[in-house]
Amino acid sequence: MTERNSFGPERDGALGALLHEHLSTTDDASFTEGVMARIRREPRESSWEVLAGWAPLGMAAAGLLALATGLWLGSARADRPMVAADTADPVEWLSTSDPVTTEFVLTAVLVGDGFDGNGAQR
Amino acid sequence: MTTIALTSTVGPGVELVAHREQPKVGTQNPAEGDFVAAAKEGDQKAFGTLVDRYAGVVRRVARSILGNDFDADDAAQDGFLLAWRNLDRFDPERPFRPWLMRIVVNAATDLYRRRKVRHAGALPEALQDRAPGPDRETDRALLRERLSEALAELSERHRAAITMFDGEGYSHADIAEIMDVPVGTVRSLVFHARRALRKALAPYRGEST
Repeated sequence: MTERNSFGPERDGALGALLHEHLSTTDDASFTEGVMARIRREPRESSWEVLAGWAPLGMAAAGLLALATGLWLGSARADRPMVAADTADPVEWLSTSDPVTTEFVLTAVLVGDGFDGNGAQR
Repeated sequence: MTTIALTSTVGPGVELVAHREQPKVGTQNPAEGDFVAAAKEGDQKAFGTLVDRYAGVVRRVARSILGNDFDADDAAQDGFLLAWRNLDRFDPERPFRPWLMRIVVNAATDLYRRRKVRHAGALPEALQDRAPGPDRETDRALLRERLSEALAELSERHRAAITMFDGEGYSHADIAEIMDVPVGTVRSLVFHARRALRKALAPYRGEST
């Protein structure tokens, strides 16, 4: 245990040997057997097995989320003013629908009146 | 691992020679790589070989942190069990020993912090003011007691650092990786721990062979 540069990479052999001896314990074989007994009682699960364990819960959560989203979309659609096509005035119906629907219906009407799908007269 | 002989002068005309295994921390022994690979696949026997190989150093480092055999073996077992459970996350390109030691040091430190209150008692007065006497065996026993007391006065980080550096032959860089601290911090921990232990053991220099 001689004084030397304690920040350096040299080891203090005497102090190290003293520590090594002081901290050493006996019967590593029994210790190893104890560890292995615990390992045999608690076998390791692979990542896939862990994931598989959570899968039913994940599927249930995803189902609930899909159901909630569906209900929310349904209620949002129900809030929008609806006009029945067979009873309402076509002009009113077209004016209350959104632009995409209007375009779709207009094309259908035009095709029915002798226009082809591209709007050209037959 | 290779066995080396350490020769140090501990007092006037007294040399202490210690033979111990020198770890090759930064490299993965090919046979060890095979055991690790087999253990990763779930081979308990291969893992048992690794436990057997590292039980000594793991128990010593855990004991240096926790200060008693019972808790140290608990932490060492927990460390090995955690290593076993997490082996599928271990990168086989990296050395196994520092990875294992990091798990064990964390397990021992956690246990130490949980049980700190239990261990925070004063040292027995009978041990505090003893001076070395003429009897060699008595002096050696006193040296061990004084070392135990001096270690107890250090923080768990100081104890772990000096045990791994001087006691187990790890480099500052390896200890930094294991303890997850900068290399400069490890140098400082080792410096202060050494100074405290040397001061505590100074009256016994020359009696220990």
